[in-house]
Formats: sequence, structure tokens, C-alpha cells
Amino acid sequence: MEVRGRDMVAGLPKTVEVSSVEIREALSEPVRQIAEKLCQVLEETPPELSSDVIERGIVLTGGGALLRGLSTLLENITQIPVRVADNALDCVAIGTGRALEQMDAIEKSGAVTRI
Amino acid sequence: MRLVPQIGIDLGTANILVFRRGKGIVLNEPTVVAINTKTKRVLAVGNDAREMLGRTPGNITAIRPMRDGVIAEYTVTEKMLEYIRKKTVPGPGFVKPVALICVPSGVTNVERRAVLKAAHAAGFQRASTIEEPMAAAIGAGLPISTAGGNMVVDIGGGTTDIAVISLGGIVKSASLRIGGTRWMRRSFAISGMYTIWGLGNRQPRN
Repeated sequence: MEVRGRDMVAGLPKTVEVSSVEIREALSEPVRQIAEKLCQVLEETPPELSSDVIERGIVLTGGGALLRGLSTLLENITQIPVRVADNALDCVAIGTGRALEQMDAIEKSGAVTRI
Repeated sequence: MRLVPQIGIDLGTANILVFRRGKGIVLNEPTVVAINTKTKRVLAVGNDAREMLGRTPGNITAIRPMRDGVIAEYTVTEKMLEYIRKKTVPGPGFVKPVALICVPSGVTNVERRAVLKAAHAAGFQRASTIEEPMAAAIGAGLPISTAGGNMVVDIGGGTTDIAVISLGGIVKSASLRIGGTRWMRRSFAISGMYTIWGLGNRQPRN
């Protein structure tokens, strides 16, 4: 992938080639943090629910979910099936839209705060 | 037909998506606002404003008003929400829509209140917030209202939300302030570049 930006040393515009290996290297740290937090949440979850999660798997949404190889990586770390949701980018917006339709029911469950 | 338009807003760090009830997604644009610093008028929002990032003269600033999933620039966010309201619900100003806005699961009450206040000031009749992993789970079509554990990991532009949901509520959740924008910056920093055009990581001029 070609990236345009400013050279840190020379201070002039420059175009560099960034390989997928380099990107993977740079992202390994944040991905590790996500995996760590994920395991932590699972540890704190009541065993009834975590066994459901192990059975049903984990769903990834959002733009970051589209990162190639992320689901396999998380799968390897957690040993739980991981899948990326269809239209991962729009999930949150679609979800709020659907939530509007069931606003009353959701409000009762306390997931919505209003002033 | 409903008299009061209802819209759902995914107020993200990188992109803002608006879902209008009965119509689907009606707006999907980058969260960037260009403002004239002298007159305080909004010049552009979204795609047009993104073009201006890093290309502005002294009297204009183009900024990303959201950082790490929460409001970083209050007045700008308010103006942006107003623009969104006018764009997605055109028509006379007295028709005030109802909004449901997403916030990351780890936000403080102050941050949540800021979102609600901004929406109110932007001309929404009523505003509520919903936690992002909850919305993501509904959007992904998970059976959240049943008695069973569902786990979602939502990796957005500014935050990553992890949650276990059962019976329509969040049982356990965690929010990390890492997301796409920072990943990009990291990956380019190693290539020896510090300003990537289009990311707008320059500090806004005051």
C-alpha cells in the first residue's frame, strides 16, 4: 500500500510503500490488548453465560473487525469461535435504528438513559 | 405514519451514521467539522470538511470533534448534530425529531450527559443514549433478549467495546480507548511518517 505523508527526518512530503507485514507488526500490540481485555471480561462473566458464549461464539463488529486475520487470531488466543458480523461497519447504526422500534421494551430493561 | 421523526445516531470518532426510522441509513460521513473561527459559523460537515483537514487558512479550522468515542469539542459537536438534524430531517424547524445516540460502554455520566445536552441544544426534542455494544449486538442480529450469553466485540474508530449481553442487558463489559484511528497512526509512525494526509492529527489552531 502506498502512503503519502511527511517525512519525520527531512520534514518534506514523501510517498512510502507500507507492507502488510509492517502494518501487522504495528497492530500486534493493540490487538494483544483487545485479546487480553476479552479474556478478562470472560473470566468475570458468570460461568452459565460464559459457557453460552463458548458455544455460540464471539461476534466482531465495527470497522476494526474487518482487519484481515483478526478473527482467526482472536480465535487462536481464546479457543472460542469468532465471526465477523455481516455489514460490520453499519451494525451500530442499524442496531440503534432497531432499538428505536423497540424503544419501550429496551427502556424498561434500563439499557437506555435519557434526560 | 409517525408524526415525530425518530433517528438513531452512531456518533463515532471516525464516522457518523444516521438511521432514520422507516428509511434506513440516511447519512454516513466522516466526523469532521470545518468552522470559521471568526464568525463561529459551520462551513462544512462530513466529506466536504474532511477535504479541508490540514488545508485550512488561519480563519478556518477543520477538526474531529470526537475523541476516543466521547465529545472532545462540545460546541462543535453541538453544531454538527444540528447540521445532521437539518440534513436528515428536512422541513420546518418546529418538527423536532427524537434521537437515540450511541455512547461507548465505559463512558462516565458526565460524558453521557454532554452528548444528551449537545443533542438537546441541537434541536432534538428528546434524546436518549444507548450503549454501543448493545446497539452492535442488535445490529448484528444476535438474540439478545433471550436468557443466554452473547458476546460482542465492537472495534470502532476510537474505542473498542467488549460486552456479554443476556436478557436485553449488559452483564459484563469493558471499553478500551483504542481503535482504528490510533491503529493507523501507529502503523504509519513506524514507517517514519508523522503526518498522514487525511487523518487530521494536527492540533487545531485556536
